[in-house]
This record gives sequence, structure tokens and C-alpha cells, in this order.
Amino acid sequence: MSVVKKMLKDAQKTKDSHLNLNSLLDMLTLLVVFLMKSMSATVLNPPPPEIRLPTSYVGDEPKEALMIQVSSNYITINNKKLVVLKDGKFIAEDLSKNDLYLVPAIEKELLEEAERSKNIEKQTKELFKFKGTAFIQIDKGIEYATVKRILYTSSVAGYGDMKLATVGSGE
Amino acid sequence: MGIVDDIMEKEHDLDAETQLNLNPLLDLISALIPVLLASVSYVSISVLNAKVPVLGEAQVAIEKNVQENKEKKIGLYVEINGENFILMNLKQGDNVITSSRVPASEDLKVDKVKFVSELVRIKSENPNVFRARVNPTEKVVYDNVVALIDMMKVAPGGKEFPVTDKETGKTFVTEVMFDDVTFGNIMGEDE
Repeated sequence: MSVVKKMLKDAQKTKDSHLNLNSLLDMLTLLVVFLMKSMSATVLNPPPPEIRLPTSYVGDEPKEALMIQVSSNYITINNKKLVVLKDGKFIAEDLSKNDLYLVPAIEKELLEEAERSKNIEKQTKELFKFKGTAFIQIDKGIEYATVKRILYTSSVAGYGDMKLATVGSGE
Repeated sequence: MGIVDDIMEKEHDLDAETQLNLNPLLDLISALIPVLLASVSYVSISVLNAKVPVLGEAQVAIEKNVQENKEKKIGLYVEINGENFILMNLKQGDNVITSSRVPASEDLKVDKVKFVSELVRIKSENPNVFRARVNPTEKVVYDNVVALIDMMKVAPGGKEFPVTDKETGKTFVTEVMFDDVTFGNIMGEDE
């Protein structure tokens, strides 16, 4: 009987006990700090899975600029799909008839973007400056023939400062 | 005394029962964790066509040398074809100063070891040249183009080269090999 009494007494004590959250809170705080440290604050969005970026040892932090993405199936500018590629190559009708390297659809979009940027430059009283910078995310399996046409068209449209997006080698 | 004892006893009871309410903090952290987990960067994206960070004065000396390279029309011209054969010519105008050929490796890939060793040789002989042009043919895969530019920028294994600021006469050492790399065949001309 004394054992039952003791158990009842213990049960009475547990009524007042609280769950100790301190250790859980410590762990969560550590987790939050770790996650904040590894949080991506880059202005460059990761490429879609169909674009495999090449690796490089040398690199710099990307800054905000016009984004051109090239996969083996399409080309987008600021997430707007403009040209369809066939196995990473241009279809003949997408190329200019007068200039073999010019892609009119890309040129038109880039000229509009450049115009927009120049308007912002005027409105912000040159606080924002148009420098003709473009980030290009190109799938590593694309042939230079396609890359050359994109770089040429960008250059014609006023985007001569090309930043080639790569994945850091981790060294 | 009885009243004081009573008050003290009540205060003591209150202190014993007062606990910090951690629930809102726990709610906040629980909400933060999924947000942070979703924005964790698993792949670090960088930009290749950028200046290599070096010490201030050395960078100024490099920029002056690049300018002089442009005026003297001196630079390293690297050509690569679809078979991964590389031809390197250090030229001043139309005069070839030094030349090198790097055939593809046995597995028909770019022979990176030979290419880097040739780059180091050319750079050691011409430490004040920082300008380079890459001319890939249309069949070259983009991955190889990026790899070439990447290898041309910085010397491997911490190797350093002297760079002289001709205005001040000071000499610095830098790992930078060919900082000013551009595509030479985009507009149909080299400049």
C-alpha cells in the first residue's frame, strides 16, 4: 500500500511539471543561424534543370542585369521564351536573311530592353546607368555556332558586356 | 508580521509559477526554418567574365599594361577547333612573337595540362602581356570555351609572375595571367 501511496504522490507532482523547451529552442536557434548563413542572397536565379552550367575556378559575384538563358531547346530573355532551338541549333527561319549571325527575335527584345533601361536611366537622373551588361546562362553542351550568334546579336543590340554564368568548382 | 509573512508567501508563490512563455518564439522559429530551408543555395553560381581580385596596386599595374597591350596591338590569340586542337599565337600586330600547338589528348578532349603549361611558358616569357583573344570554331562545345577562358585567367598552383607599373617603376607579383580575355571572332574582327 505504501508503494501505491508513493505512486499517487508522484502523480500529484507531475501535474505541476512543464515541458522543458530550452534545449529544443537552443537547437532551433542554431539551425536558424546555420540556415541564414547558407541562404542564397544572389541576384542570379539558379538555372532551370535543362541548363547545365559549365564549371570554373575563377569567378565573381553576379550583379543584377538582363538575363539570357540558353538550353538545347529554347532561348529566353528575362524568362520570356523567344526562340526555339533544335538540338541546340537555330532553325534557319529564325535567322536573318541579310546577316547570317543575326537573330531578329532576340535583337528586337534586346533593343526594347535597352530602350526601357535607358528610360529608367533618364527618370532616375542617372542613378541607374545602362551599361549593356547581360548574364548568359548557357547549357555546356551547346556548340559555339549558337553561342556566337547570340553574342553577336547581343552586341549589335548594345549588350556588349557579357557575363558568362558558371558554377563554382568549390575550390 | 502575519500580514508581511502572508504577502511574502504570496510573492514567493507567484515567482515560482512565473515562466517565460516561449511559444511565440517557437512559432516564429518554426515558421522561419521552412523559409530558410527553401532559400538555401545548394549550387553557387558565379560569373566568369569578371576581373580577378588582386591587390590594389597590382591591379592598377595590370590595367595600365592592358591599355598598353591595346595600343601596341599585342595579345595572345587562342584558336580551338571541333577536334579540340588548340593553336596559340602571341602576336604584335601581324608579327607572330611566339607560337604553340596543343593537340587533343588521347581521349580526344582538350589537353588541359599541356595547354596550361604552354600558357605558363608564354606568360613567363612575356609577363607584361595580359590581353588575349579566344577564337573557337563553330563546332567547339561551350563547355570547352569556358574551360579555356578559365585556365587563361589565373596561373595554377599559386605560380606568380612579375608585373611592372611603368609609370612608377614598381614591380608586383600576381597570379593573373591573361586578365583581359575576349571573344575575338564575334564581330568578324579582332579589335
